[in-house]
Amino acid sequence: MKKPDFDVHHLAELARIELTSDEEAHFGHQLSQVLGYVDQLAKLDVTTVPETAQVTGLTDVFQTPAESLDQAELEKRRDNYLSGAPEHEQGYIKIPAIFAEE
Amino acid sequence: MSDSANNLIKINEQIDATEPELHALLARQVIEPTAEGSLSGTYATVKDVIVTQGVETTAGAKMLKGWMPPYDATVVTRLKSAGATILGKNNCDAWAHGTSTENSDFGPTKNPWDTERVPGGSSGGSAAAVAAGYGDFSLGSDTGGSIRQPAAFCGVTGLKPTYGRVSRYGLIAMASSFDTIGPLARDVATAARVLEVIAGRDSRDATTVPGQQFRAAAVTQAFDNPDRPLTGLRVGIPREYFADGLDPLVEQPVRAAIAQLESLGATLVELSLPSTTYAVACYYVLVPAEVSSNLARFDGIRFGHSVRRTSGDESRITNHIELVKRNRGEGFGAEAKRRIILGTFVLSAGYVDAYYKKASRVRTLLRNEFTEAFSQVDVIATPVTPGLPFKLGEHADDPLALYLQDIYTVPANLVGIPGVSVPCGFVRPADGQRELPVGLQLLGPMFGEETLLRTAHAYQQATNWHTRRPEW
Repeated sequence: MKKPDFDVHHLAELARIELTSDEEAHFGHQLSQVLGYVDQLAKLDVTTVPETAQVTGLTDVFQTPAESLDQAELEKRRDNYLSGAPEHEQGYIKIPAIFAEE
Repeated sequence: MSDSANNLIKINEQIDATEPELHALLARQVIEPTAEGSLSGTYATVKDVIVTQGVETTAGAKMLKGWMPPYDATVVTRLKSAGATILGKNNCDAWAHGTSTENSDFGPTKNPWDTERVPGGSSGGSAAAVAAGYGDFSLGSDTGGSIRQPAAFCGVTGLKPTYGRVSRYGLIAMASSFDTIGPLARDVATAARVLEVIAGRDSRDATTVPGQQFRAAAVTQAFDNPDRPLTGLRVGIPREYFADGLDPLVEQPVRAAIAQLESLGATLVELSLPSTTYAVACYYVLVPAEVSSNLARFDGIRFGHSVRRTSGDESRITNHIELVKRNRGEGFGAEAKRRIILGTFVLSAGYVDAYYKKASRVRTLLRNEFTEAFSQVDVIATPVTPGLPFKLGEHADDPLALYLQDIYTVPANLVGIPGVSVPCGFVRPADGQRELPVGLQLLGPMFGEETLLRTAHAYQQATNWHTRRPEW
């Protein structure tokens, strides 16, 4: 395993998390230690071993059809879900612009 | 007055007396049963990573403070319809990330055996609540030991079921190919009754495996040969679980418990699980990867912490991504941020092969070794933790030291098998006056809970460690 170029600022950007410069330095130091430990995996030759992504072996699991709901129940559920959003209007969640106006 | 009403008064008095110091609960709110059933008359608490309709659910995280879920988790629906009364939500490490409950954004839970020490984690509130008598059982979650390790630290019984045995619909996801929900209780018999209720296929969790029965009666029925109930059982002792790093104060009672299994009729078989030494490294690649993916949904837009609600300077945020970054920067604690960043790294272009895919292959090695072991033995016996409950703050801000605490518990999650932690002794630590509990871990093959819990039940029939309670 080559020594990683561990750029906390860039990774936090990718993960959409605002970090303070103190956090960046602190987490960078701690995570370098964790990666140093994890690097022992490099000692193992597993090139011919298949990957495991899940352990049940289940395949092609289909959802049962959703229950049909009347209009009143649908509206009640919608209002319930919307109640968690900081800003909503007329059944829509409001967010700031995704593209800035030029 | 009925026995049940009388019990409730006693439980409430106990909670009133101990909760100010323990902090095992976040929300304290009664959720009534919806029907009579096999758990009628029992009282439970539920870890706060499991959603409860209309009752605040935070996962121990500031991000979700004040959130009222619009639905119940399947396990909650099943408890209610089996007659259990829920008394509140248990404190835990935020997002279930931790082994001490010190990562809770709402302050740590204390260990009821010694309040200067941690109760374990991440289901520390669940384990402390059961040990302190807050009802009959708690539901916890176990992604790398989060039921078994706090059970060991608090002297209670904790079961991590087989992956696919219990629905996770309504569990706030940590690492989806590892997460399980299971009971913490005073004894194996109670844990088995709870498992019978919560187990089984659920159309809302596509990973639940159909056609797998679990009967609590198979665990608790009378033994044909009460003096040697484990006759014919083969118990594996993996040497890697007794290597350097295991505190002799933990090893001694665990060895004594294994000798007791032998005296109950079991045959001991020495075996080797050589990839055990790589399990923690493997786990701390794969789990942060899944964490970074699962926690991506918490952006403060549809629900959860938003600077739009809390701070006065939101007017300078003029685009969506800036808002999401601010919400997540404020709403996540240090450990969640570390795991998200680590997970983002191991999945990033250029590193995914060396880290994520490599660890996925090592996971296969571990699975193969356990499959081979279970062709020779019925149950595997090990310690739960390498050390005794540590003091609050002892490992603060040293993530790697805390991760290494998970060495004996993460393999079960990597391979999917069930494991149970049962109290097997009490010892006085070198740095304290009060006796602390030690746990024995028993592991079984996939869907082997009946034999696994039958073994643990036989041990509890012959010993009384599980009946000890902390004094107040």
